Amino acid sequence: MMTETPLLEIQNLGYRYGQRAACVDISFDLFPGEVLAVVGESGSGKTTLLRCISGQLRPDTGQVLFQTRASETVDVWAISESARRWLTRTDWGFVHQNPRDGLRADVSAGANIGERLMAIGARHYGNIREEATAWMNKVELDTARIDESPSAFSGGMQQRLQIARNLVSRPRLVFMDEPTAGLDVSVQARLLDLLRGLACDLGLAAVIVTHDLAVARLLAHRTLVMNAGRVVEAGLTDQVLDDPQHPYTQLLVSSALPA
Amino acid sequence: MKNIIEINNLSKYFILHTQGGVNIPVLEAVSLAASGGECVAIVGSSGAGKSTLLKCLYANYRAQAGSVRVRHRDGWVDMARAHPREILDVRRHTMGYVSQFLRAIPRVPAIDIVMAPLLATGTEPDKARVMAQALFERLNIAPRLWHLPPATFSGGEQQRINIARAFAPQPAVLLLDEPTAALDEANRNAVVELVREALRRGALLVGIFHDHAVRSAVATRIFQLRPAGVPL
Repeated sequence: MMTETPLLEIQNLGYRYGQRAACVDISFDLFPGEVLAVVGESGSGKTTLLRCISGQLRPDTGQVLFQTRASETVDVWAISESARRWLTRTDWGFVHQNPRDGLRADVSAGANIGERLMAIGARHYGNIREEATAWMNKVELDTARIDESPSAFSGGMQQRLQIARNLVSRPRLVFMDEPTAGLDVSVQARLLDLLRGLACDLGLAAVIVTHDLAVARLLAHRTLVMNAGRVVEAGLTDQVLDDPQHPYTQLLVSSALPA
Repeated sequence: MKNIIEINNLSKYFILHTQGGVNIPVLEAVSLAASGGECVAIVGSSGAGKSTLLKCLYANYRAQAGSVRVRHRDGWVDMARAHPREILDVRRHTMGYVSQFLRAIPRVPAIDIVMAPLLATGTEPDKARVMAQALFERLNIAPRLWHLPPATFSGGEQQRINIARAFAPQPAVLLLDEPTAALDEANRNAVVELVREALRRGALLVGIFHDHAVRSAVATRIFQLRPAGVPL
């Protein structure tokens, strides 16, 4: 297993907003089935990094290499716009912090889940509905509400619906931006448990941006710590949190409530 | 017996950047080799670095110098330098760790916590369940608790879940940080039995046992640690 090739390889990635550098010379790799957390405070550049590596924001420098299902390595920012969009609909998922950014308000919960299946060619209405129902079950949503609009759902339910919508096409890599922020603590716990189970069962690889160290500890094999646009420390999650080396990581860990 | 772990000149200090960069030396040039069938009891005064040594072995703490080699998949892995994925592979297949406290995960029932390391190494779910239940019975965990998350359990109950989880996959190396601290006599004896069984199957155990009765019942060797910076 140690000779496996990475699913995602980030090489010397950089991004600037005018004079201000948001990401500086960031390199890391991610292997199949691996969950990586990116932690740091607001403004550290972690969301910019996530947008650059998930095909939403073209980096100024560096490369994002992804290994497709066909074992081809593609340079995400060198392929065509349509090829990139195809990737984001099939092999990738993206879970937004605010579920409203990741859901369509004008169609039902079931259609939100089915949409990605249709995007990859599913046409049989009965099958799509059946799959949507199965996914509502998996994310612990009441299947009787399949025809309701997502706006009728609570924040925690919307977040679970967004996850179902992303996972229905069996992506191999999921990007998540603060997936538990803004949820009540009890709702957070349920969502985290769900994500932990899904990542294990489906062998998903994921990059999770979070400011919550407890989320990193629960979900991530490895953790990157970002400060002022740079990765200042990286390693095994429990090592980074229990024996932080960099001054900024020590400050971050010692400022957090026990995780 | 051939060695399973070889610690060579391990040094560990903590630099506390938030405290003005103060340097706290904990381990200084510690060496220890041990083989299967041994139970090494680490002894030393409070602050001598006993838990730190176990954590360096598990790669929960990073070493500043020296090597911490563990026999894994017909080779050696230096836990002080290995890639995180390799460390996780060692933890999955070769090394178990009983910490002083269970880190409870919200909503996950006790039985799933104990089954998880078995499932991760490919044991069939039905078989894993039977193995977990057998350990619960030996450790006197009442069946009504099996399907509840341990967050609300007593300290002793949580500790026994922790022990069951570490012993279930029968790893070649088991690290025990005061495994019986919160346990009554009957449960201490159950743990002593588990340790002896692990020794009989050829496992290496390295542990901190403050309880003298437990230590003398299981230890085959005493390893004395002195606080770093204090002459021998």
